[in-house]
Amino acid sequence: MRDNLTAPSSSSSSLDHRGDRLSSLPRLGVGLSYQGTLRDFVLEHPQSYDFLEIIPDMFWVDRGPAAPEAQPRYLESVDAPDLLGRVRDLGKPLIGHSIGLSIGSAELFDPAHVEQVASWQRRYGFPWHSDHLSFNRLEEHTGESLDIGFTMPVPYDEEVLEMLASRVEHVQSRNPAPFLLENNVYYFRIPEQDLSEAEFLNRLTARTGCGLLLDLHNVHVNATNHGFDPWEFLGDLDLTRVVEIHLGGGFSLDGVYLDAHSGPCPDEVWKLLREVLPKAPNVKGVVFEVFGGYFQGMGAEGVIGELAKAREIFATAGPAA
Amino acid sequence: MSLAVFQHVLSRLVTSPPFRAQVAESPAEALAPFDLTGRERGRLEAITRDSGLRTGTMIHRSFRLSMLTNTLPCTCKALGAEGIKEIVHAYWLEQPSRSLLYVQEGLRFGAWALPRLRQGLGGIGGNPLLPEVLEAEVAMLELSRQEIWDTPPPPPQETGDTLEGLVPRLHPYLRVIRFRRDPDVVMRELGAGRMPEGLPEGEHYLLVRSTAPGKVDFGQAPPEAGRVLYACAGEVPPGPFDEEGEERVREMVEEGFLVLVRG
Repeated sequence: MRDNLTAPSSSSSSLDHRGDRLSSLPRLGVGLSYQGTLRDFVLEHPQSYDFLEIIPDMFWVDRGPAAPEAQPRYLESVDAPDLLGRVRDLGKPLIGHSIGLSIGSAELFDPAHVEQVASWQRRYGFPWHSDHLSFNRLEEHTGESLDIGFTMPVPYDEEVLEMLASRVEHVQSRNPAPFLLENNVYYFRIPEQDLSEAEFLNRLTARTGCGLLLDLHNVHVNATNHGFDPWEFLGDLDLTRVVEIHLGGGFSLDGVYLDAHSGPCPDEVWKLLREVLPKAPNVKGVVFEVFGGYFQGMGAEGVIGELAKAREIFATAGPAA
Repeated sequence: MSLAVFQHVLSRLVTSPPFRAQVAESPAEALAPFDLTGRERGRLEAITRDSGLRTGTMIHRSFRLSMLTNTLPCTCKALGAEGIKEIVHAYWLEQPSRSLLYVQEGLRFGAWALPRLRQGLGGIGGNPLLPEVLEAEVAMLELSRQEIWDTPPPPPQETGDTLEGLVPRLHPYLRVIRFRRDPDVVMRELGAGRMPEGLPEGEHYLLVRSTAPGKVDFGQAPPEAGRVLYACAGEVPPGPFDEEGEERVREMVEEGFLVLVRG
């Protein structure tokens, strides 16, 4: 059943405040998503990127809620301060893109993870931070957790919207930096959803004031695999909520195009970037993602090339500085 | 909240091909035990017929496998495609994915697989390299964990005039693995993606040691020293030693390979 409510009026003072909050973020430029195998590249080629997006969960071991009281739950990597300090010394801002919140898990929401990310935001000054609009963790009746290992889709239903709105508000109450949610990739469809993906994202961002991390490769993957024009989604999306854009590459396997972060962006994604940027006045950063295992195949020159192309498009089609 | 049940069943459809087949064949019967709304049942039935579900399974399994190939690369090479299909798939059916932590998953698989490989699981268990290679890589993983340094290492000990009443035990940051074939060659070849062949059998001991939080070194010990260290790692404390043996123990205590504990 489609919702009869119209989008909340943008004239309310709280929403104006939230909109101003996104528009007043610093324009960072083009960034790179950090993976361990990129360590030398990041330190040796600082001129090729403007900021570094880190997955903070990579830098700690979460011993879980059952960790002994005498020991800290999060065991942080001894290497993290050196590496991240060196990146900051190079003048590169850091932003956090977590994978551990699993905000869409119906029975599981971990305030400790929210606090841990907030502590890193205080330490490293992320101008904004983000996570995925999905679930990957579940709790068994034994109390043990399951982790599927990839971002599972949530139904775009009113019930889920309510659940996520309260969780986003909790995150925002604990972390002063703006919070973004990333649109998901889905290889199977959940039928008879209350809302379209765009409607769901619009309602969620309007209600909570959170921003969007628009992964254009995810849009391309979904459009390719499910046979729709990406602008059927993008045209309905409130692009003023987009603060960050993700780019990446993939490959086809057995007739399915995969979001593999495996190499250069396909032409269709570059085209989407050129078309989206003029319509997204609050985009502050564009990030190229490649998984560590594929970096060798691309090589430093390949990554530099992708970042340079993103910079050229961001400079010419992006919001004015 | 039935959304939670829906997510559990959806996850099981992704992670368990046998369950997916059951739902595909008899959806009403397979989904009957679960407290789902009519809409959720309909969704799950539709998803079961969606070819994209197989992609989800492939991605889930690729992720689980990547955790093992990253943490136990030599073991995975020694297993080969057939061994992975037999052993790793059996592991996945018994042990659901619990964590995104690569080291934890590698250790979990090692704890599950090692006793089975020693007993010769199927035909693949006959590969004589496997148990030793897995044991070595598990030791490297265990000792690579920063948190073992939560317990400070024992301070250097002086051995005194006599070892009476004292039992030598392996230093807690050290592991010793007995190999029937030269571990330097075995690990080097497997690390390069090659299956070592034609290696003569002998008595070899690989030492794996944590030297700092997150840092691990390894190398072979001479057989005489390896024998003593291996004995000191066993469940039954070694001893008594003759004069030569006692002298060797003293040296190893002073070099930090062994610690003396009250017997």
